[in-house]
Amino acid sequence: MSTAATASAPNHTQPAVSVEHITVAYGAQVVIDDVSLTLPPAQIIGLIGPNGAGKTTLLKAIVGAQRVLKGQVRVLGQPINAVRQRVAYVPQRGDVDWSFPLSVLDVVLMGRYGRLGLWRRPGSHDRELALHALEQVRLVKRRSCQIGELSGGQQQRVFLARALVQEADLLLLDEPFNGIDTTTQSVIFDLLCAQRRLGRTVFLSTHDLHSVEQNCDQLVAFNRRVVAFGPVDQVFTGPVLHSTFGSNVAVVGEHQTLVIRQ
Amino acid sequence: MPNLFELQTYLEPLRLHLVQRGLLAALIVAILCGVMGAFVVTRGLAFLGDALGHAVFPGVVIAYLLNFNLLAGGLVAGVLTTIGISLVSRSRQIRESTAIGIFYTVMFAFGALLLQQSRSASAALSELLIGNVLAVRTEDLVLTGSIGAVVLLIVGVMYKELVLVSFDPALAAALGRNVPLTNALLFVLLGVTIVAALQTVGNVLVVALLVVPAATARLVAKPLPAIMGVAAVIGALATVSGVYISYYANIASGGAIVLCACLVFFFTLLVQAGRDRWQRRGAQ
Repeated sequence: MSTAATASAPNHTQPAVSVEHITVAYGAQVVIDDVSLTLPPAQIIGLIGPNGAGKTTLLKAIVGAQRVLKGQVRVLGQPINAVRQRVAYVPQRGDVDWSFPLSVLDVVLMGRYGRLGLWRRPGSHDRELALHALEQVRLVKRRSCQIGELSGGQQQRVFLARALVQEADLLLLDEPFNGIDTTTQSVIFDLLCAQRRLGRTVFLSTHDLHSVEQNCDQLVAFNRRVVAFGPVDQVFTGPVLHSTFGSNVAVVGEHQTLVIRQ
Repeated sequence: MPNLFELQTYLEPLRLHLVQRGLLAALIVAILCGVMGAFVVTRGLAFLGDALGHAVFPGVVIAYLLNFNLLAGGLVAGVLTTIGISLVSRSRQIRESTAIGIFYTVMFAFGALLLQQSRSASAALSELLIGNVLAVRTEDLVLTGSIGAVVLLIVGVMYKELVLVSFDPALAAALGRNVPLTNALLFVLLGVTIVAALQTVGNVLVVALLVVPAATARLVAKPLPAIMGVAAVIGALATVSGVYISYYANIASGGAIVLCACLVFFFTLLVQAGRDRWQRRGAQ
């Protein structure tokens, strides 16, 4: 299963992400082992793998938030430091303290901080963009709410709105479907498809296999290394899933129904 | 017992310059602790605050023995401890609370050993453990005021970065921000605030002035700047009441201020619990 070169917008010919032989370790524990991966632009690409496979670490390595021991990462054809403003990163919802005293609008405005730099504060243009993004995720009425008052799905949509105001060419989302309702899931996928139509690339990690099967163009099956990468129908096969998830996944029946033990 | 309903009761202490100075210094400290306390409470840094209170101690003792400004000595020790904690807790094997626990006990033990060497130091410095507003000299007031102005200025300028790193360090790192450095800045500001509070509430009770008004404010106010403002007001009220009580009852000012703040906290907690109950009954 090799990298499928696909048709894309003429000004987006270079890969969205190219990772060459990267290794990441925490102390003596190797989390990512000599991984190479080239993501084509203007696609929605899913990153699937069991808990502890190193999905979060891979996303953080791409975005430059995790030091790489060996190898090279290039984003939109350049080192990450040169293109940070063109990359939006959405951490796992559980990584932040939602009781922090911030309003919905406050959090969305953080998406503008990359462009504002250290010293400037958000202005009226930033607020307009933030409100527009909140409209897109259907939360504009709740802009003044405290983030702690939101449901899990609404919190995830706030995070997505924050990524949208970055107007980034590459969106990296870590487990955006963790513990959310199906309505939120379809709202999120609709918006991600709209991003793809703008020629933007979406790379999202998940262990919800059903959602990625229907909505992603390509899949990366990952467990410390790339098990398989390619169009969904090629990756979404019993043998690949079995070697990715080990004995935690079973493919049952002719419709290839998946059973996953967490 | 002074008559609480006579204006004279409130004016008489203010005739004394040392009361004026002490009250002013304590008010600056209360405002500073309110602002920094909002970060302490939302980020769960109470333990770090307590630790820094103890860790400044050897700096103060050394400054006393070398006949140097006490607050400046405490400041150096506080900043060194903060840097040490930040460096050691970068290792994945050592949790931050462990690093804090190691550093502040080492510093405090060092301070205790130094203190034993000098009898005059023991007498002079015991005040800094519980605070005494009446011991504030003019140069201390100037230093406290300068510290207050600088800390508030830095918090004002760096507010958005401090909040970003506090709420979502992963996003901050992805945006290219230096997360350890920004955290270190916040911790140094906290250490500086604690040093400023040494004389008025003392290094043991300072954590109360950081935590209690901000925790009370969090019960009644929502956005972070509002929590800072309300905490500063509560701290200031507790300070004024505490200073008057310590003047008339002849008790340590630090303890009086902290007990007043705690009274406000428990009162607010009770009122809120009562209101919630009343609202639940109304909803039925």
